[in-house]
Amino acid sequence: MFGPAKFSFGHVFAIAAPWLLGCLLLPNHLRAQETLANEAPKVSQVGATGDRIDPRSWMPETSVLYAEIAPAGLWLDHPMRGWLTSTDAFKTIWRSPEVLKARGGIFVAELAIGMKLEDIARELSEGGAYIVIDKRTDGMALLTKTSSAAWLKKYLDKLLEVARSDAKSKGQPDPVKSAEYRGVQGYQFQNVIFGSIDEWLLVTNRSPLAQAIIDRQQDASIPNLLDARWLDGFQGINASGESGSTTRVIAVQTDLEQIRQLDRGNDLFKDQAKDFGAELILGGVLSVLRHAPSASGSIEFRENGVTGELSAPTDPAWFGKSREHFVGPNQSGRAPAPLLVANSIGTLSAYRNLSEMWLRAGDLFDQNVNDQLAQADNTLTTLFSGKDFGTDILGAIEPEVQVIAVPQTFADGALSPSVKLPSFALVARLKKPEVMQKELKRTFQSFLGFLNVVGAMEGQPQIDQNMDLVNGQPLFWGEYVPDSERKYENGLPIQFNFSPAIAFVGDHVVLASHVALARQLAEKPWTSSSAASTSSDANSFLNIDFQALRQVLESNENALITQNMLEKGHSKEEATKEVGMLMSILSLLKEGSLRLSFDDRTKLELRIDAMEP
Amino acid sequence: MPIDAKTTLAEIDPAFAWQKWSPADQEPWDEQRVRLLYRRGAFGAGPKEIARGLKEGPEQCIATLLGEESQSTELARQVEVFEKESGAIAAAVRAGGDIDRLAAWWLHRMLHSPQPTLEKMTLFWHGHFATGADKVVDSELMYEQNRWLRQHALGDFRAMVHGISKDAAMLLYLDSATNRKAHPNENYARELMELFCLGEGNYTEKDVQELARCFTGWEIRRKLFRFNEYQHDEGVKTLLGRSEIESGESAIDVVLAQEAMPYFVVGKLVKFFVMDEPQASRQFLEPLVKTFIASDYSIRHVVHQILLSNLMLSLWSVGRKVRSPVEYALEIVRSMEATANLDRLAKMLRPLGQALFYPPNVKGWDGGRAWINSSTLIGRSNFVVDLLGDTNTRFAGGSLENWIRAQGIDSKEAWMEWLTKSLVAVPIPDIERDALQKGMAGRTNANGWTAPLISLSQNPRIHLS
Repeated sequence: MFGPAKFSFGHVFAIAAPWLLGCLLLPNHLRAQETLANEAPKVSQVGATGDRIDPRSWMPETSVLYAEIAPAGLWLDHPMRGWLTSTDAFKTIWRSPEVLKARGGIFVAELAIGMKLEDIARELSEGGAYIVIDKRTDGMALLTKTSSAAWLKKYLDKLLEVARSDAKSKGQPDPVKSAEYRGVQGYQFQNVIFGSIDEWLLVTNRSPLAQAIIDRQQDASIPNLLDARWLDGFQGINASGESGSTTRVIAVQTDLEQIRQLDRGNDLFKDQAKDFGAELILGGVLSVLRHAPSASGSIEFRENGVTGELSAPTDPAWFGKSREHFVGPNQSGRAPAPLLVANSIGTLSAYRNLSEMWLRAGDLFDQNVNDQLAQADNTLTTLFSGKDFGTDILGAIEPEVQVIAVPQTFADGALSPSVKLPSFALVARLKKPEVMQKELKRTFQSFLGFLNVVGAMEGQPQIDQNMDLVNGQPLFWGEYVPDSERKYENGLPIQFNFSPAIAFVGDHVVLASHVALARQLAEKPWTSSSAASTSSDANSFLNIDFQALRQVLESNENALITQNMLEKGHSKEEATKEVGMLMSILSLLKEGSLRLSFDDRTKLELRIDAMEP
Repeated sequence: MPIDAKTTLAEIDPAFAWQKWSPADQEPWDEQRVRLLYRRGAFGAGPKEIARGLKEGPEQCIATLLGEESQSTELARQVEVFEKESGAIAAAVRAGGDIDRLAAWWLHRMLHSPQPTLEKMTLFWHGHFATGADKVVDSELMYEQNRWLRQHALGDFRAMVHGISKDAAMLLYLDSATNRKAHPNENYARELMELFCLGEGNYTEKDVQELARCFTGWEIRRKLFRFNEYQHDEGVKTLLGRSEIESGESAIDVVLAQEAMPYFVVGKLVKFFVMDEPQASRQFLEPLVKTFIASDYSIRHVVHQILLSNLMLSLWSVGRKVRSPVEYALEIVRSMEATANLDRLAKMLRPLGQALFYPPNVKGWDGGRAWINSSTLIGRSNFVVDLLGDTNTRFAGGSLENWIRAQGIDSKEAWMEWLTKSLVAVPIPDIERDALQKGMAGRTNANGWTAPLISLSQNPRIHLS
């Protein structure tokens, strides 16, 4: 069986753990009564199985990715599981038709195999699971250390018996092919090749990879993954997590050098963003991806949340001058501390020297993007009364900027937009406030006038301009005026989500999509949010309050249902359920953050906190 | 005198052609006729609708398509529920102002409306009173026009013409938002007679000039129609032989009262429902014109008579029309009870030559053979590949394979038979059937069930209705 087999590399999912094979089988085998569970030994403690085989010693040195996954027991016994299954949101999802259908399939498979899926998962991965992607064989393999060789043999025998008798009952030929290689019995079912080596289960989609693994298992002198330099410093699932209070459940490391060679056409490795937005978000990361020899990632469970991290070794020389706008001089660029704003959905704070980025566009983008930017530069320079947009306008603000989003509230019964958008504010410090305040005020007023002229030409609502003093500093804003001749039976148009405003707070400027947010920021002294400690030393930091986000989505539930119906062709009932499920999932989450930092390693850290039990 | 496929139009007695068809031993009410009615009067049908149509019989089947029971039965409830749902979608789409999404909303109506002929007629009027969003730009105005067309699609033709003459989208599209007495705008006046009511040769250039004078003072301001009495030409006008016309409205009445009007309108309806070619003579249209006039210009009465006629249900009309892109796409979707990403579906119609809300010019889509060229033929085949490849496409809520098996189909050959019966209006010669089977065998789709449909989409006969 370990002879040649042609499989697409895209079928990597097909090698998911073979217990899924059970799910493919039909109810003809409900009569299978012999239970493997009764014969399985008790689950032993993780890592205490004695032989201490490092699975990397079996894997080929030509591999480009290696991952370790913690035993299923660790996932299933996490304290969050008990809390999660007790929540109303989970119960709603658990009883949804889609999940019920899946549960039905699992139940049938469990009956056929005679063992609970959960128990199979525990037994199969008692000593952990290990994944490798190999460049030479273009294959992917999964090795799991099961509870015992005897249990694994029984399990595989049962699985094969069920598959064969299922085919027989349908009058089909034997669906399982088998062969032996160096004393190891292997099987192929559809696109999946699998076999056992003592208590280890091997699953792969390429027979040459299976052979390579068996070769190394039997001959330690053959070069293997332990010889690969790109895997130096790998922190596996047994490495202690953050402050020792977390459990690492997935650890992965990859050979970026090889992946760059394999995927030469990919823009991610070209060190050049395709557009302005991509450069703004990813610019510095692209420099790292282009040069770093390896990258690693991990996922860790905390008592009430999940943490993820992607990182890569970093050399300051990789950024050069061209990405100084992103990382700052000598990587010193730091995001400002996120402001505390009541009921905010989230804050994005970042170091971005926008002026430098605008002026360096010729080095950063291709000709097409540069042509578009040149056109935009002309328009913006006109709009800003002849001032050069890159130098005079963007150059007038410091690189530490943040964007805040808050949900909008509309009085009950009052006319409100049919699609309710959150309001946003950009907060930045002015380099020369005494000069720039007047310039920006005048430009802002010109901009509103421009919107009125364009709006009048297109029959759009007009903007009324207003001004107020807040704490002695000016606040300018515009307000859309409803057309007295229109009835707005379906709610106000989308423009009525906006009341563009500019406020000056000390030496900062606040540019907001709605005056209420600008006024909120101008009225009270600023304090940093609780996320400030997490964001310190970060280049970019995003934090999200999932409940505020849920509030925004709930106020647009009808629009979301409609969108679902048009995008997926769902009926109203299906769309309502799917949107309801999204809300249920969000109701389980409290807050999340994404942190990007540059030091001797570039790190992208994700943290999601669940609601309090 | 029976009508068979080889009978020429000139040989057919007009009175018999438009008389009510009745089933007979030689011409039973069968699946082929139900499918024909659903192709011409709707956008195709799935197995359940075909079974219902068979059970209903011809008259009830047509009444169902036209929604004629909506005053008193279960259909009234279905219409109410559907209109509420569609209204909610429209409200959300209008809030975004995206015209492409408006097309998706309309496709949702075409696929799910319990009154499918109403949607088909709305599409007909969209091509008749062609107005393009590329020029109007404003989605709200396009929506309002679409609503007006639907409201009158099966109603009084005269009321529809009066309304469309003051429609903001129409007047903006024809550069007629301003019409001053010093410079009467002739665009709308010309199209009203040439394209909307009478056809070429039934008016003179002088009539165009006089009608334009009647419309002076008609303006669009802030997306609304208004009459500016100060810009209205109060002078004496003579239009189509009539003088002393007081207003634009009375001028429209003069146009509508022309003898050519019912022949022009009925002729277009016959072309839309029955045959692309040849063009029916006045004499041939006479029975329908009489119905049109007698019913006080009710479009519903004419459509009803066409659908239930000997000419339609004798099967003479089979294969005499080329499926429009909308018909082609939706008949495939509906026949397999599929649901799909409607935003994407709306975009996929563009390369086929029929983007909703974007007719090519004021004449609308030419239709007939013009639907087919080397580019749209490839596009039609690619449409099937894209539709089947989209993960959002489901069949009665599940996979294609499950749906096929639920129909009792257990082999690729049987599946091909079902497809040819359901989607191909005309017989397929044996030699082409062999080619289809061979083409199917050459495919290497993941599960093989999509291959027959893709193979069939490359056979030219699938484009005939």
